[in-house]
Amino acid sequence: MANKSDPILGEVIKSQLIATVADMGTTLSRNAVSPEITEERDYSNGVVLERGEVVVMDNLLHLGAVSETAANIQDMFQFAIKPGDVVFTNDPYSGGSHVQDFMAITPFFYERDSLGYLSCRAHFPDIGGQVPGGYFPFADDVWAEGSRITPVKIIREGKMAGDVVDAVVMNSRFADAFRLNLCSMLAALEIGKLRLEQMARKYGKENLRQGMLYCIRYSEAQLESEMQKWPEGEFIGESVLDHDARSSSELRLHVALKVKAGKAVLDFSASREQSAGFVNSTRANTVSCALVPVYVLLGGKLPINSGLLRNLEIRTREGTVVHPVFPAPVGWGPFHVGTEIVSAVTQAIVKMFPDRLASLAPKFLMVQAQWPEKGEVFPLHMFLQGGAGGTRGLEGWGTPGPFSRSRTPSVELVEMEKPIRVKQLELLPDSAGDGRWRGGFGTVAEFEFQDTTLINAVIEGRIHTAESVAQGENGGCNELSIRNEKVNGGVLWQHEVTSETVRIRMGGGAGWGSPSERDEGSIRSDLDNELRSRNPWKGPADPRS
Amino acid sequence: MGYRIGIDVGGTFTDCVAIDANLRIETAKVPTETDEAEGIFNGISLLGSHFGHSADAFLSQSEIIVLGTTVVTNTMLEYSGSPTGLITTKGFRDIIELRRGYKESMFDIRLEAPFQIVPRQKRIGVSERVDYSGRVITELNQDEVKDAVRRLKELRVESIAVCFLFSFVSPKHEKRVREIIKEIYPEAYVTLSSELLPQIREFERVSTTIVNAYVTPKLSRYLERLEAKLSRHRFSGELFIMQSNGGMMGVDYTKTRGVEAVLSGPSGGIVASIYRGQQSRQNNLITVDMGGTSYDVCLIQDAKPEIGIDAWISRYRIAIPMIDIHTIGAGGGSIAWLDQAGGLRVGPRSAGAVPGPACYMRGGIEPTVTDADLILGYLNPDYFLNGKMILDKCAAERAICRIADPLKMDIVTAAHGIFKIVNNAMTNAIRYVSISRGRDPRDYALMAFGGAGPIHAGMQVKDLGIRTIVVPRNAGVFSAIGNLVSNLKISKVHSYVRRKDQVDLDEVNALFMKMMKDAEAQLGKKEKVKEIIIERSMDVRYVGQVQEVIVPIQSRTQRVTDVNLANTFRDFHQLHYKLYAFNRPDEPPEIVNLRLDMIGLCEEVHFRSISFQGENPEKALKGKRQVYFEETGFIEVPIYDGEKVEPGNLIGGPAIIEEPWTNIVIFPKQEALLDQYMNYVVEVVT
Repeated sequence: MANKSDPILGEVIKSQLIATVADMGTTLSRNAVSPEITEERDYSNGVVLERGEVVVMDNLLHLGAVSETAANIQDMFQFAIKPGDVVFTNDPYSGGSHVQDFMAITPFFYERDSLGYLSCRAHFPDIGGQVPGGYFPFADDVWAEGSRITPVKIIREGKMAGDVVDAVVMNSRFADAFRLNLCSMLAALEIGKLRLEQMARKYGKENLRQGMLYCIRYSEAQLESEMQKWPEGEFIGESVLDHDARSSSELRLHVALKVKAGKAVLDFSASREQSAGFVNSTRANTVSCALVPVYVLLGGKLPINSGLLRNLEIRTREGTVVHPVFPAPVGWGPFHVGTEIVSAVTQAIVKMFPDRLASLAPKFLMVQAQWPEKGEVFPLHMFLQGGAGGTRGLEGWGTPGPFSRSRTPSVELVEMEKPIRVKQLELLPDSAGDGRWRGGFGTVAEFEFQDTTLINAVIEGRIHTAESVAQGENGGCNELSIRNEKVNGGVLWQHEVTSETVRIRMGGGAGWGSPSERDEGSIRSDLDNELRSRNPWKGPADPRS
Repeated sequence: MGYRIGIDVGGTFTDCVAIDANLRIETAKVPTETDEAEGIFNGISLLGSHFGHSADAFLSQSEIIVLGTTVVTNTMLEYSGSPTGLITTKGFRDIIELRRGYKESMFDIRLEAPFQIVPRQKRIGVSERVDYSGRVITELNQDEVKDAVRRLKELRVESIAVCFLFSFVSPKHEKRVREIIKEIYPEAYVTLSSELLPQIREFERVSTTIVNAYVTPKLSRYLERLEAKLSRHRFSGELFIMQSNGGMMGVDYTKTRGVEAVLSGPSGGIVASIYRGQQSRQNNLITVDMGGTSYDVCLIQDAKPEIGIDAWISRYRIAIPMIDIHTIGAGGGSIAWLDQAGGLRVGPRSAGAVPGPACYMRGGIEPTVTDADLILGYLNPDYFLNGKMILDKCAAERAICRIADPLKMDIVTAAHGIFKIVNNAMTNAIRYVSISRGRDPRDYALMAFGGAGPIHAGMQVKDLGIRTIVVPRNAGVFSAIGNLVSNLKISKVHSYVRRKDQVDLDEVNALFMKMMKDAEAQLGKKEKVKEIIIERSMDVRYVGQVQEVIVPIQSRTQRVTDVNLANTFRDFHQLHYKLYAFNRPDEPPEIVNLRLDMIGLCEEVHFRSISFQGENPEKALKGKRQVYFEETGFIEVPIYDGEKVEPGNLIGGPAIIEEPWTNIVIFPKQEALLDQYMNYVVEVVT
């Protein structure tokens, strides 16, 4: 039996549970039809127990939402969940993150015994609201972002509740894609169920149950052992956002990391009151984001589950940007203030260990091309990447790891399918924060359109860029320009372009350590590779002259 | 008919095998030299002496040599290729560095940026642009091309990759660049993406093109050296090189397409597995090769290896069709350790050959899989590696104590724990190539080789419900034998992006015809070819998907007909369901690429079979020892000397057969038969 005295079977079951959620992910991403799932890979699959206790998942950024949504559903249905049921919801105020993220959950029974749940959660392209895609900076409340589907049974004991499904699907502007994505989720749940059944048959119910608990305890123990290295005390981290889409005033996020007696609290209580705009992060989303730097400290390989939260409390205050109350809009929350949460926690941890982290979160900008008569929207920002910070001994590159699930699309495929011409897609020189080890470079992309096109944009990182670690420079600025003119505000909406060139620049990452200590070879290499237009050499002479 | 020679150059040994007209086979194993050609020649000399010839006399009577080389793989692993430049569409010089946002590990901030085999300063954009339909939007600026070539020449590149957007629709601009390079810098090697891989998706294409440009000059020089040496020693036959797709091609082809030889080495092993499997009437196999540090798994269906197009090698994306080998870090040398949470883990770190497992007595103190195997009785301390090595059981026990003590386990339980955990990792790797891709492992036989493979195979079949294990005997020069029996094979691809209702059959057939003509020309001299087989397929997906499924076109005629096409789409729906548990038969699919494989079947090589002797293996019995099995604990089991086991002998489990280079553990309720082709066939008794 897999108890603490038999870690061998626990280890075996743990690795098979990890393989199970990976298989579910393959099934989902191969079958789905929206780039948000297939390319951005904004989805997760998990095995969950009662009270929303997560056993294993494949995406840390969904951990909070899966756990809290599952707990809510279990609470709501109590004993009314039967074998073969599937419950479906997107409600940010039932434990979710934003209305675009739908979650399906099904109980797993083996020989009439309940052994837990399987969850599948993915970003859907549209669920109504004011604008296609649901990202609406002028939303006053959550309804403007899309319909809230509180938890409903779409499958009852194996039978599809067609009327309920239709009622949900018809809320989407892209009903066909919605239905196909939903079917892909159901296929993923089926695969997960099949794998768990095989395991239950082979190892027995009780061993499987113990194996699941082993998995949670395992991550808990890893964090426990990491936290023994943490000095007691209070460490403050902050991160700043340019604007909240409704006013141009900056928005400051504050966290206090309090370590005492082997336990730690990440306390966000002093963060700003919730915003009128869509940059609020639901509590569930805040939990996921807050764990990112901690998970990086742990090496990033252990099972993603509730064990990570056993000795680490995420404390939030209702009514703040990290814990908004109904019905505040929350559409951009996973990005902003999501990334500020990651940055603030990083800054707090760096106070303990300057050597062990890099700046981990980029500042995003959202730029959509819209063709209203066709009812189509394309996210141009998907082509861009940047923001990875330098760390001791290593220069940054690309997108920070925790935000690198996404695959940028192929220029050739996009041009074949959309009235877009990509004129440039390259690294952006001078966009990296300098340092002993500099940040990674950002990117620049230029677009032209064959048809009249509307541009919608929300730009962060114009003023406040990726925050540096250990005296490095901050990262580079984001910028949107149309016909070589820089867009000055944070929001541009329904801006018509015909033959003008639209250019997006995404800034690079922050540096680590003082730029004056940067070595000659690295400076020379950046100059040779035309990644620096000016010579930042702080020494007595230009090494090239 | 003269001699046919198969050579496989591995990291440590160069294996050679030759067969003459009377089916006499000789083998030779010599150390691999820094200059591969040197080791190859040593091997050939030794082979010749086995047949009673001098090297020159032997080579002068040899018809063909088929070579599996690791030069390309090593060039990529060491990043030791030629200085290379890239000429590409202006505005897109960094596609290779942006790598579609891919990072190998999301949460490891110590993950370094990939080494740029073509650094940014050697990637030059020139004005030109073609759209998706092939229409020229911006003419090629030839002055910029000239400047770029001069600049690359100044920077002393030896090889130039050329990759423009949409060159697979219109290769005109790339071709013109080659002409300009020929004028200004004729010595440079040139690779055009439109010739190497005329396939949509710029990142995959430019990456493959750059890798080809980077590895080919080195490979080409090496092959020239080898050819010169061979012809100095009177070889007048043909030299073939094993390809990543499981076939072989002439040396001239390889001199321009080095990237296609990146899996030249492992290819031979897979071909050999197929060959040995067919002998024992097993056309569906999962092959597992467990060495000291890694475990390679490959699935074989209907005597054909699984081909993949998604490979990354040494952090570079290579999109040519290659044998799909799934590798994990688990082998005899894999180290068992306790993590921060006190969990027992095995690998991926390996003790390698030096210091090696603790029982090797070469200074290793950490517990490894081999140490566990020794304690459990699966290995013989007095007979290891053909008797050339003695293993120290006490050292193994001391090493295992390092994990057993903190876990409060006895040594045997801990050793068995290591055995189970490494088996589980390997079983997961088998699941990955089978169950995760809609295949039931129970429909396959497990073919196990490599030093540690047959020790663990018996346990894996139990976990997966597989009923048959095949262990080829004399696996010492296994890959070289694969080279000997392989056929010519060339794989062509061309993008053709159309929804089902927009497909123009004439266009499709014209493209297939072009691919066939190109393939025919590249196949070279066809004296050795008995028959040519053409296999066509299409990459198909549902509109909106980002990945395709390769669907074979069932057609016996030169032209693809309406009926063929309709059937292919029907097969797509079925295949999609099988692979991904889901399909949409009412939705029109979309073609992305057309593929054509041309296979030149060569004269078959036959090996002599040996007729069955009696069932009783007692002549081979060499003793008994205590061996551990989960169900029974330690029990005394018979040990057989593999070299004395005769075809037809039946050995019931539990038992161990000690072969010179491996041990075969026959678990309880399993039974082994050595068949007439020298394959041990282990059946699970249910």
